[in-house]
Amino acid sequence: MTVVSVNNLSKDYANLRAVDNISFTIEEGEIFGLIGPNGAGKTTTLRIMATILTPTSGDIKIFGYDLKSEGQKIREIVSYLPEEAGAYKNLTGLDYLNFMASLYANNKSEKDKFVENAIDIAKLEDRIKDKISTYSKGMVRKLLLSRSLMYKPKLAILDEPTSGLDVINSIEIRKIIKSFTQNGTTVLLSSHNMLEVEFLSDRIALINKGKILVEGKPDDLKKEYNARNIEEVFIGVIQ
Amino acid sequence: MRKFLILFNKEIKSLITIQLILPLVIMVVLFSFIGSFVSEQVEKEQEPKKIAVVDYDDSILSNDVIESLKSGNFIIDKVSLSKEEALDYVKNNNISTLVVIPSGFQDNVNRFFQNEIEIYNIMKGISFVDISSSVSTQIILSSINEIISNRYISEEFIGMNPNIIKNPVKIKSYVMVKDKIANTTVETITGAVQSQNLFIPIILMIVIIFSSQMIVSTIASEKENKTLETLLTMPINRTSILFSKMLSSGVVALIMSAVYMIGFKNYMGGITGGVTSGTQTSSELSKILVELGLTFNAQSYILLGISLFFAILCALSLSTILAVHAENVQSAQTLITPIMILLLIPYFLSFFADLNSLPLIVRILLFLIPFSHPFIASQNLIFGNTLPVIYGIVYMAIFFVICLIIATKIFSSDRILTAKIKIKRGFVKSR
Repeated sequence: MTVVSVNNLSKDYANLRAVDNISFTIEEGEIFGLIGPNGAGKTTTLRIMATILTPTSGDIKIFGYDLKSEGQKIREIVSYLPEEAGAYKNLTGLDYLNFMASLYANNKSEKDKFVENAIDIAKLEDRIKDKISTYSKGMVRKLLLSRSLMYKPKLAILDEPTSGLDVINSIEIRKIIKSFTQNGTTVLLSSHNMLEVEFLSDRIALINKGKILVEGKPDDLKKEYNARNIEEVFIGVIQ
Repeated sequence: MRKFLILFNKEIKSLITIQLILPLVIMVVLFSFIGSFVSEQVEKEQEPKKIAVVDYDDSILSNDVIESLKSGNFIIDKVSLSKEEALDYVKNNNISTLVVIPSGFQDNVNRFFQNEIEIYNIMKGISFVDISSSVSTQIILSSINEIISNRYISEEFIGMNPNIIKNPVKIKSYVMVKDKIANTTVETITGAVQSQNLFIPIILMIVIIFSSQMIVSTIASEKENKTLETLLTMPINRTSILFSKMLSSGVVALIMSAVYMIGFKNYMGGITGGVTSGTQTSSELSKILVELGLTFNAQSYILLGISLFFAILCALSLSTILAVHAENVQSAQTLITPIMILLLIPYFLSFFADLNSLPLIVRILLFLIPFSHPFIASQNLIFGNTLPVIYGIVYMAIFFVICLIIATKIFSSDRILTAKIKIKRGFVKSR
């Protein structure tokens, strides 16, 4: 079942067209990867879908809600992990999760359940009780990822989820994302690391200079472009 | 409402940190300590001061002079030493002043020759304490001249009071405010009103500055720490995010201002405590101010409170608009410079000029600054002019609503993430 449909989406910043008339759909429970180099328009697309930027033109429907008129409804079912997200350094990891959970939950038991989920996802053990200011980059990223998945959103939008992390932390985060779709969550993620997205995604879209160049399953695209991996597909497409 | 309170709680927690509390506590303790120290010094200054006198004349007149000094506020230590020995004596015995009456002092007076009395003040520093501990040369001179001139007058006008001859006219001054009259001078009333209301402009200044700094810090730190983007995607109304930041900043600013004022009041209480104006004591002055109706009644305090409240709201909303354009806390602090300037103009004018008597064009410009109104309000309320204060409140309310609409629009648009003003080498660039 199609749960996200993006039709002819464009976004202009002053004299720059960051996203140029793109369209794609995402099926329920799948991981959809948006791949492209830096400045391709990935973050802008994701920010629009997370309702923090308004599109210049085009229509977006997420689980039946119209993005322009039902932003508040969308925010209740979608979670967003920005690429350069931070957390409140004056709080402990646990306080941070409690604060965030209380904004999603309708009562205390629901909030406690969300926090419990987040602790399971983050796996920070006793360090969860320490101040965030003492965390490594990888720990902060895991905490933020657990925050975005704790209430089991219908759609998780993850912008460069492993950005700036070492191999071990990246692998852990990929495992978390992969396992989480088994709970029914649909994932839209972006990365400039094409190998990572190839590993994670059920379907991908290659984006460059604001335009989607090609879309499909990684294996199908590799066959089509006679490539060993998605990086070679991308080179083939832009040539 | 529940989510608003969660956000408000989080904002308060992030604003009230140990870095904020510690300087506040230190400041209050320090100001209180300085205040009590200065107060002690002021009391000491009013105690009789010890002076050493070397009398080389030892005549009836010189003894009369010494007696007259005793009846003043001096404890006399009469010594029979050479001048050099007497100077060593005062230094070793911690006496600050030595008066040397020369021989032939009485003869010179009898022959109407001008005498010369030497006064040595031992100077140990230039601080308030050092200066107040030394005896004013002018007081000793006046005391001596008084007894000699009285003697001249008594000899010439036998049976007459020398004071009446020296001051044949006495003024009984009255001050009229509206339909109330009191026996005092304009200078005394002005001084008393100013010293009683000294705190009002300072309170206004501190509260408005703190409010602006708090709101810009809370918005800019969200941007700097990259937490704003996440917060904006949460299922909360953006107006709630904005209002929680404004309310928490206002509350913390008020708490900080109250603490500052307690410290400042202790400090100023030490300096101004017990000081009288002219011949009237502070309790007499307070009575006169009540007689003239130059005091704040309950209505005045309420109006001043409302005026201050709206000034804070204007500062918060204006600062929010500016803070949205900041990339980090440091640049946000720079961006509120225009607010500081708008605040300093009425602040200094309220100290040095009567705001109501300024030229029309200056007054119009002043009235356009929302922060001017609470400063003007305190002056107007003292004289019972409530109407201009109400107009000021209405103007500030309109100004606040306009700023709030703009701030809400920015907060609900892309500009909250994309608006940036780069401050580099004095140039301000908006993008």
